[in-house]
Amino acid sequence: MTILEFSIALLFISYTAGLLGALTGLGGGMVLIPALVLLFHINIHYAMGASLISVIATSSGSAAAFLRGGYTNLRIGIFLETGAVIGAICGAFLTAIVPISALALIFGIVMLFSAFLTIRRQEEQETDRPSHPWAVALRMEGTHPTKNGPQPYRVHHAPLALGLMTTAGALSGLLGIGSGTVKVLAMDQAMRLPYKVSTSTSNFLIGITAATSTGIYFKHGYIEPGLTFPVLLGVLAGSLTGARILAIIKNRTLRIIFSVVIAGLAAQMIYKGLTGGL
Amino acid sequence: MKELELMIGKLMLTGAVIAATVTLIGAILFLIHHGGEPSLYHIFNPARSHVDNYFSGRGIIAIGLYILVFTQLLRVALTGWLFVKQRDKLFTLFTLFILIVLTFSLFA
Repeated sequence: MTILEFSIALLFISYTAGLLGALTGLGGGMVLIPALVLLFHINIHYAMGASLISVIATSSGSAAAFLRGGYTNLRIGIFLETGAVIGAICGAFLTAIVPISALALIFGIVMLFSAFLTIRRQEEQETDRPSHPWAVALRMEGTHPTKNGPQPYRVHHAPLALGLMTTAGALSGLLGIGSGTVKVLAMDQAMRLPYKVSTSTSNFLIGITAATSTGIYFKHGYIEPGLTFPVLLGVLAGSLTGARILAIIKNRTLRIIFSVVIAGLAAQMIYKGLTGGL
Repeated sequence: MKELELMIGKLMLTGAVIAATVTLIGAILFLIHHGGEPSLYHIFNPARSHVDNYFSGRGIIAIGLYILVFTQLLRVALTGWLFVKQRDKLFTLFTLFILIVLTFSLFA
């Protein structure tokens, strides 16, 4: 294929990945990297570099809409991001050392885990327990808009969430993804925040975490401009379209279908990792 | 405070739009000059990703990517400013820590 044909094909697949990523909340990288690696036979390091850049674009492009929604909790975000940036640097350092087959294997496992979490996700879980002492001391509790006006929410398991966010940062640097599912896991399941507070705050942080890994990615030559542009433009356009139609589509069914697709791709990544087919 | 948050959001969106536009301009130039060449992205070659001419199509794409990455520094700095205005020393320090790690990772 020539570069022109290749770029057009990449633009389409990246648009689809961005669209599905936004609709399901799994993020673009999760379907993009396996598509680039399995369908287009792109080197996994290049695929991760292009994905990492597109993750930043998605986070920036949707920041205005998320902040306007009034769900983003910047105190929780900044507290957790202190761990995520450290994780991101460690992950990006590791990615140059870890063999490609192991990267594919880890990627497949993270995909399976994310698909599982997406299917299993429980909506709002109210508890009467008071917030974790750290959350009280750091004034992380907040209110979120509801039909009955602003409602206060509590913040649990702050240290566990910090640990999970550090892991999310490490996975982001290691695999070139946004790690949105692990970030939401930290806030949704550990901290027990309302779901929209988790997703909005996660979106705010994803750009910062991913940017922290890009320095190392650029240095190692993982970010190839000629390959990154169709991916960046496609994912950005796809995720912005996805955010617009999010309100119209009932996305539970879609989430399950998408998770099954992800699981299928994950199995192939794991197979390629184990057999050294990359 | 709410206004500053909304301003951060608008600035990030503007940054993404500028970065995408610059990238698109670079992409068109790149495709005019190299569109007919074979794509060889299945082989990793670290020397190839190096950009030496920032006036070429690839160079302009790279500038677009840098704009996108550097707007993230702005995101952190403005969030820090939000805490400075609230006279919240601890969260100003947290944000400063993130800013230092991010700056170090980009320039070191």
